[in-house]
Amino acid sequence: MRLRSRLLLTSLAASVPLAIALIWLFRESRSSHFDRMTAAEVRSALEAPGRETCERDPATWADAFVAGRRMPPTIRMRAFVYDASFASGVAEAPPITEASRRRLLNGVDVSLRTDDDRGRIDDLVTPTGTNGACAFVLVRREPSGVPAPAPTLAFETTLAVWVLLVLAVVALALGPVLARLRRLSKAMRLSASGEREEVAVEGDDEIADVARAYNEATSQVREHVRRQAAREGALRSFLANTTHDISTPLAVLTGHLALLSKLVAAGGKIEPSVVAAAMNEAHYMAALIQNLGVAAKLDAGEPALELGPVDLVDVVERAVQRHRPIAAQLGISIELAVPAAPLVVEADVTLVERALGNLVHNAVRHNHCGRHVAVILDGAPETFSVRVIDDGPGIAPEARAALLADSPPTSERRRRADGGQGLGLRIASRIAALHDWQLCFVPTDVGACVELRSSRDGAAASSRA
Amino acid sequence: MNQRVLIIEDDEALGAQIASQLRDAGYQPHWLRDGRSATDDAAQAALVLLDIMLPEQSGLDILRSIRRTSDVPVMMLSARTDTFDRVRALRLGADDYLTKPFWPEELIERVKARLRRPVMQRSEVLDLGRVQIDLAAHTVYVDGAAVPFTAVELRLLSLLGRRAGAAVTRAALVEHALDPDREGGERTLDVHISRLRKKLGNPDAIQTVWGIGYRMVRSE
Repeated sequence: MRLRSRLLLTSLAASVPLAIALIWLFRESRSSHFDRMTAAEVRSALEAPGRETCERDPATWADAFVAGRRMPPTIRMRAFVYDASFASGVAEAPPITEASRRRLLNGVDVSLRTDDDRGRIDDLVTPTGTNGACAFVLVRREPSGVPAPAPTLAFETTLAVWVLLVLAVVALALGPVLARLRRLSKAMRLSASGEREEVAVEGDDEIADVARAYNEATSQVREHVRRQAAREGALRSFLANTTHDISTPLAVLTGHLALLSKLVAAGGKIEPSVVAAAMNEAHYMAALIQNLGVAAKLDAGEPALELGPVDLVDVVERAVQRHRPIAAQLGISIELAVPAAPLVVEADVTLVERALGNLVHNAVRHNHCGRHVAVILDGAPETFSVRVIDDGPGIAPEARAALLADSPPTSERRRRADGGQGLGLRIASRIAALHDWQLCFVPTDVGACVELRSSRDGAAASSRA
Repeated sequence: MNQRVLIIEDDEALGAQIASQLRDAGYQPHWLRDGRSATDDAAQAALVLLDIMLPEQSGLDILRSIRRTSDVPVMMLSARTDTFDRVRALRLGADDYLTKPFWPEELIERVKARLRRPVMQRSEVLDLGRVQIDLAAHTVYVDGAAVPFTAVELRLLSLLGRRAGAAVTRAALVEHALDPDREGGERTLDVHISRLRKKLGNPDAIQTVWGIGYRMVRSE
């Protein structure tokens, strides 16, 4: 059922009983008023000498009582007098029922309403307080038989007209409201189908509140869907990139292991260089998997940093520890220098370890046997500096900017031909940016020096070196 | 050493490798494939290596259960690299968190670091084998005999001796031991170190660390 029909029906269902109740109340109060007035007039008429007249000649008293009352021409009033045994000297006097008698004997006025083919008849019986011939008086109002004059607008009719008018006004007033609701409903359907982002907010009432609430809800849903899509895209990208990027070093590792297997089977000497190369590939794959995971998250707009107190001394020690075995295999010396006391900063420990790990990994991997890597942590929490120095082949100045460029890594960039440093350095650079730190190349005569530092006067710490 | 290390790892290959590596490093490994008796066994161990992803019970639940009755150091082993997982484990009482894959040497170094008893150098005498440095008396003994050192040389020795085994940067040595107006800067540092080596009678007592500075080692 449509809203307008429902509202009209509801209004009708509420107003009709209300109108009936009002009409009933009006009639009852009018009748009660008549009864009270009549009872008062009867008592007044029975005051001396009226009572003696009533006791002596009830019929005459009754006629005189009626004659003294003004009634509309359509109403006739008659009065009947009863003695203590409820007998009347007038044949036409209406009988008084047993129930009425009991009430009258208790001193209570009795009013009776009856309807016949002439119309409504109102009777009021009132006890007079005596036990003689004039113990009870019945006053009757009944239709006189005189035709009613030109009809006037009775209360009931007026009320009915007003009810209908109000219903009509309600029906009309609903029009604009329903029109707005229809427009809102249409706009919501368009928004749900993607043809429109938001619904227009008209006015400042409850319907406008609904429109605003809808816009807020859909905005949140769209943002959630966007993030979900980004995460799924990142996961797909991670899986695709991992499959692609791991396959080559895995193939190389397989080759090394196959060679080792042949050497062992032939009873030959196991070449340390082959073992070192195999370890190098395994180490590279481990770093690559973790870097691809971080890259996928960064590309998806994640992560929100999980900040907490991080002791950079611990982080540097772990990063060097992790690379000592492979450095030893490759014949590269790796050393570190850290302050004696903890150097605690607010950071995401996993990301910082990844960033530092990448820098150390690059310094070890792209170096030569007999060379060196040094990791130096210096400064204070607000002005720290971590430098990774090596005396390897270094990085051409023109390549440095590209390696630190903050752009999503693509499969074309992730080539081993560029030394494979790109992904690790880019991730370290993005992690530094997330923490509001800096990552830069420090000019050196030999090899390379990459510095990770806090953005506030971090240069001051490094310049003391 | 012979300290007992409890390993809780369900992967057969990895568990066997870790047990073997610990044994080679002089520890006494005890390997469980699940956490059923972890709480009781942890009470007998000096250190617990606990995998997070176990088949029937989460490593974190086992950690909680161990922590109810014991303060034994626990190192979590996990392939999960999210900071959230790491922080959660540390908040539940883990002492360290090692992500897979890891080199055996790294694992052993971390185990050693966790089990190393801290040496509280309360006295003012640094014992470096053949060399003793009495910081209060400003005296250095080499093979039991007092050897005169200049104030600068003493400051350098104290700095290096307090951090024996660790590399100290040239900048730190210059900043804390040399007066730029009198003793000069980094260019004269090498000269001072050279003199120190001669007086100590052992050129290897103070090692040059490439890219960093110097390191004093205990000499026997």
